[in-house]
Amino acid sequence: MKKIYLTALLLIGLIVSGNAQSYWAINWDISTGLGDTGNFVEGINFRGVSIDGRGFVNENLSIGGFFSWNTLYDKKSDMEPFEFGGDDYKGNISGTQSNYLNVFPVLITGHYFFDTGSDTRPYFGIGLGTVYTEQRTDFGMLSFYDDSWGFGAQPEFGVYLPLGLSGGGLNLALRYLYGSSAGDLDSLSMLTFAIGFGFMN
Amino acid sequence: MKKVILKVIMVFTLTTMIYSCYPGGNNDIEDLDTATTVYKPADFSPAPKSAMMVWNVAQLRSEDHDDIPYHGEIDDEILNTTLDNLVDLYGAENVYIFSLTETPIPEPNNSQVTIITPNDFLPDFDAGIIASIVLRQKTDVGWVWPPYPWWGCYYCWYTPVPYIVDYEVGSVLVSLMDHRKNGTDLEPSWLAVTRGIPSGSTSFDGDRTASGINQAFEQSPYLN
Repeated sequence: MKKIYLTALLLIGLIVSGNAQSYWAINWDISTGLGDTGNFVEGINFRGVSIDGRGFVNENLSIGGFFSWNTLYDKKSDMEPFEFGGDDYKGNISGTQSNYLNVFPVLITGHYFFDTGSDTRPYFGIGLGTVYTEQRTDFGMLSFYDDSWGFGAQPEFGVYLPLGLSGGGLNLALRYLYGSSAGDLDSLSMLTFAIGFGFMN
Repeated sequence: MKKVILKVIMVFTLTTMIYSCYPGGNNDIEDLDTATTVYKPADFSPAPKSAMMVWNVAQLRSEDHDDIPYHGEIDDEILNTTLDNLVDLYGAENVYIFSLTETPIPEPNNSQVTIITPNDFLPDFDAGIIASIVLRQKTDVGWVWPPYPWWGCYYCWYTPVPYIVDYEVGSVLVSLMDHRKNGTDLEPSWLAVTRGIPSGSTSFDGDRTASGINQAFEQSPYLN
């Protein structure tokens, strides 16, 4: 985990440091799983943070790095009992199942910022890279754990709203994250609304 | 001004990252409870039509005196919940309680069932039921000797625990023996195990155990 975090920061720093104009955003991420991911962890999850650094190559185009940590959690207490057994005997087990998903995408990003004639800058972009996923299921006093590194892609659109704080403002974004199936884990599909602090200089 | 902004950023980052930490404390102790049932399909075709349950919870202790202290605090919940489910399955007229003593006579919540004492004539019944509670700190040897009085001896054969060799302390077992086999098959036809961590609250643990027993019967429609 520490390695992922440091690598992401280093990546973002390297990309952004050589550019005169840059944009940073630190966000609170609110996420929900879609498809199989949504079946595993239903509902909206409020545990997430993302760091986004972008350096401008011209007035409208930026490249950068992105890192986030999102935790999705779901408790399922009304599931059908699991069946097990063989020819001579059969059985069922029931209980509460707690599912956890920790998602760490580390992406290289490209964004296009629109000119609006003001300091407000809507943008859209995409990030490509890798997604580290930890998946855990607790059932009774048993715990099942798996993790994997997969390919990640994340289209995004958002807006930077200046608040008159010397380049500081509000960053709002909507992202869709796809992580490829890897190891024993299925593919990842996740929608995130991000709200945070954006800093343009 | 920039220093202020940076401080705001740092506080915001730290706050959100702390909030993002792995959620491990969201589970209540009852979320760890499970109800497991194991059965032999061949023994339920046809299913029993009547049952006799021993009005006693066998205490599965170890010989190293390392058991948790227990003085029958949740026996009533275990016995009455099991009885209620048997009555739902077979009807009060087909369920019997076997009292281990002539006096005192058991006082179940359901007063419609017939109580049999050691000196009474045994009625015909299909299934024998006994409940047990695990008090051992470590239970990796499965032989226990619950009393099955109607076979004419106590401790005359071994426990209904051949399938699972490791029970958590506090687990409650309810086993059903097919009495129609006249002792030719010494394994239980149905075994229910409710597992969980004792909370220290007798009433709470009793409620959780009753809930586990109810769930065990609910997920076993083949019993009838």
